[in-house]
Amino acid sequence: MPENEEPISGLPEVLRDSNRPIIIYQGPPPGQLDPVTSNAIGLLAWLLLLTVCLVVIGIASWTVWNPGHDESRYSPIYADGQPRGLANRAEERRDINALTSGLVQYVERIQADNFDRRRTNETHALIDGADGVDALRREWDETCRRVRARVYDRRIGDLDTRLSEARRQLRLTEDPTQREALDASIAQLVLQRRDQGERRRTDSDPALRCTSAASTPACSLTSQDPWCNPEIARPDEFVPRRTP
Amino acid sequence: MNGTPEAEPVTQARPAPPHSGINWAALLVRMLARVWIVLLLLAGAAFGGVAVTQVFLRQAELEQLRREPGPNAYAILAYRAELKRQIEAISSNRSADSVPTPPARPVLLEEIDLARARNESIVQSTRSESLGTISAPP
Repeated sequence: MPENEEPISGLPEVLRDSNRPIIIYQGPPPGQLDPVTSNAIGLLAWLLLLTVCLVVIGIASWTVWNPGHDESRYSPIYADGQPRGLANRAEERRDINALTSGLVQYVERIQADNFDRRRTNETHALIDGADGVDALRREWDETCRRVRARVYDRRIGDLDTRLSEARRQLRLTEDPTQREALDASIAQLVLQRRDQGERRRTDSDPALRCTSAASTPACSLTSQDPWCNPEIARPDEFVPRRTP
Repeated sequence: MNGTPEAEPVTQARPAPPHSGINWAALLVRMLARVWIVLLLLAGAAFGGVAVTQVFLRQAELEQLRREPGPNAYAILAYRAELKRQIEAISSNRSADSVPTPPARPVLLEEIDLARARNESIVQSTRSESLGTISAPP
């Protein structure tokens, strides 16, 4: 090594003695970012990955555990509509399955009892339970009768009001022509009232006759109501059976 | 780099900076930050995987639950819900001027009603037959 040269620290002795050109770059190689920018971009990349993970967790949790109900989607269990979260929808379906389990076997056993000509002892909670269809149909019939009574009450009440008003005017009127007209009107109202009372007593007005819920006709094949043809109204609620 | 004759050897070089030692605190903080981020990322990926798995498991469970019962049994439950809804709606409507119409019966419910009515008539006919047998003179 010449004496006028200072030793280059860090280079191996072999390289220094090789008499080859030694090129020392200052700073990062061309095309590469400086260390600060590179570190910052690396950190951002890690944070981006972490954010993606958190978003996936959030969306998945919301899909499973969403507590809301969709009002536009019918539910036979919840009055607010079908639940949105998958967990609650599974719970709803579990309830449906529990309530309707054994229904087909129930009717088959009654038919078997009929075939054997013996009294059936079969019961099903959904049909003849405390909150079953039979109890609700009775309640529905009772509600209909209450509505009917209310309509007759209102009609007779209107007639009574008009009748009392006509009688009041009759007491105040001296004019014989007007009195004659009022007499005719009162007679007409009395007749109408009697007619309404008779209709109420005999239930003879077809427009106000309650049809028993147990005697309504069966659903048509094309009905879009979920209680008639749910596989038409709610096709996604049922999985088609696999044919063997 | 294989000793090309055109290349000139370096004759001047800047001397190396004085050795300043290792900053252990900075090294430790940097290491901790890296471990922290890696752990966060691993935990995020793990929980993300679990969450996505839960979604697919719930979907599979729901599909399994939807295999039973069939639409006929579902229709009776829906009919019951409709009766309940109508009873509430009718009761809250005080100004109705006509009587309501009950909902149509599902096919399976009509079948149940017919079977029960038939059973009732069978029981009555059997009872009257047996009463006739008892009261008949020998």
